[in-house]
Amino acid sequence: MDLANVTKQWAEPEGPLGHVVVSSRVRHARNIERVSFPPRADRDDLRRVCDLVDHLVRGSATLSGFERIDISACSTLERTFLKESHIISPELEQAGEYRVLYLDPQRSCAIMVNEEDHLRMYCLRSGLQMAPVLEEINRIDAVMGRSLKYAFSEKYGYLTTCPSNVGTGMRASVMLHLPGLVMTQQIEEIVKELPQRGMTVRGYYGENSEFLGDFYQISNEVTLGKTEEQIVESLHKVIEQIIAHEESARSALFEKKRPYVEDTIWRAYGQLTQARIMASSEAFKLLSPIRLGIERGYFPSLTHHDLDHLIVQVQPAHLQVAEGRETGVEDRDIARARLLRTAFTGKNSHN
Amino acid sequence: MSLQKCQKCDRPATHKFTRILSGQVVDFFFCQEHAAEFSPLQLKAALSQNELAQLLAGLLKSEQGQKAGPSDDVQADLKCPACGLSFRQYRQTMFLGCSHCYQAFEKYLKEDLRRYHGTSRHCGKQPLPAAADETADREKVEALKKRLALAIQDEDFELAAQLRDQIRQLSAPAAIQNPKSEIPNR
Repeated sequence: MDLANVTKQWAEPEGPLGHVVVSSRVRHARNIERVSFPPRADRDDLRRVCDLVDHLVRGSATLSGFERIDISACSTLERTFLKESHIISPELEQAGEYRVLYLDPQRSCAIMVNEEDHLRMYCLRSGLQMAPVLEEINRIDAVMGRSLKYAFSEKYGYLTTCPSNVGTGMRASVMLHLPGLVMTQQIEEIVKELPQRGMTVRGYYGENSEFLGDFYQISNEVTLGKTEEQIVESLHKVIEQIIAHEESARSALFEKKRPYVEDTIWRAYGQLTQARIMASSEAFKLLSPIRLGIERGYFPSLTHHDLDHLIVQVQPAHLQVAEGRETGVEDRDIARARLLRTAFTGKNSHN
Repeated sequence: MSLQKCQKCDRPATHKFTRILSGQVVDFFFCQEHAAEFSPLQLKAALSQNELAQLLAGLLKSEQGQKAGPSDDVQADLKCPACGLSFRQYRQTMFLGCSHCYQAFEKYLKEDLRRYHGTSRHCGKQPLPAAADETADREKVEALKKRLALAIQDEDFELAAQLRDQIRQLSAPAAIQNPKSEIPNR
């Protein structure tokens, strides 16, 4: 697998409201009628799903450009690399037979086969772009749904393995960077309030993952009893409000606590340009204030999008792929510090 | 973690929850029962499948000891005729086995659906047959009408109004000339 080619989406320009919104994503979960759901399916069922999807993708004008990646044949390192790039889910990262990924040429849409459901299809774009993302995934869903007989009921909608996804089978999510709300200690209130509005908050790698680097993934909790458009619209409203809060928090910080914020940013810069050993969690912690500094013009040569790419590049599997070999934690921490020094100073420093 | 006690009772804590309070990471420790209370929507996420199985087995046992009714037994023995998954297995993993499970466990699943979603009826899009031509639209209208009748029967007027609008969008003007409707305008 050509991993550099897989991640070429980073060449795309930064999306709208990139200072707060990292990316927008909509995912549809679908199963095929009369085939056991993946957790209960036997090998024949799983193979049948793969064959059906493969046949469909090959014969479709819309999907023929999608690249087929056999996840079951990937090494652990390759699978982790794809998860770190947010191309596959942590669920698909787990080893298992007949797991396949179809990736579109722009690297913004993908179809995951035999994840928790037979199909998990998503579209992901940089910045706040909910409507185009929904439109794009619906187009793919329509192509798939015309040829595959989806498990669907009039009453319950698209039938999913876990009833928490039934109905629309849709999860719309937005990854936000909220250092202002974290520094002003308002994040707790917002996180607490979101479930009451039908939203849920997840960490950097989705369900059950940690909140790293002030990144928060906000998505709809409820998938039944609302239309896809209503779900996206309510999420959009919530996101707009959070962006407004974050912007005021940042303004207040720079107005009233400028020395404190600047110190945080420049200390982070100091460590990133000088450190010789850097753990992944520390990198997240230090890159967050830099991302905040980019918006305020402290780092004119960097965009938010560049920084988001850098965060992905310093993840363990990405470092190992760049080194061309599997390495231990200590070697990775040294390689991470070196990569960050190079990224910020422009010099390939080895001393 | 084994030395920690549940913050709500004296039992040993088996679950740790991490929350962000005032920008600080705060850990909460709970026993299995209070963990579920603390985060009911996160029940699946908070507990591993094995732990969840033990928890439910424990709950079933204690219930059986005290007030086991026939309905508990029926629920536990219920099996999907298509894939053979038992309701008990579903509750252990929160994963259904196939599309027929929704019918087989309908009576009890409705509760779960309400807990997750606050409702148990779909009103989003439907898979479209082949191309979106006239025949497809007619079929869709027929399907929507069936759902409308069900919604009226269930007195779910909000959904009924949405379905009525969808039917109007898809129907030719002739089809909406008779505005006699059982749906109150809201």
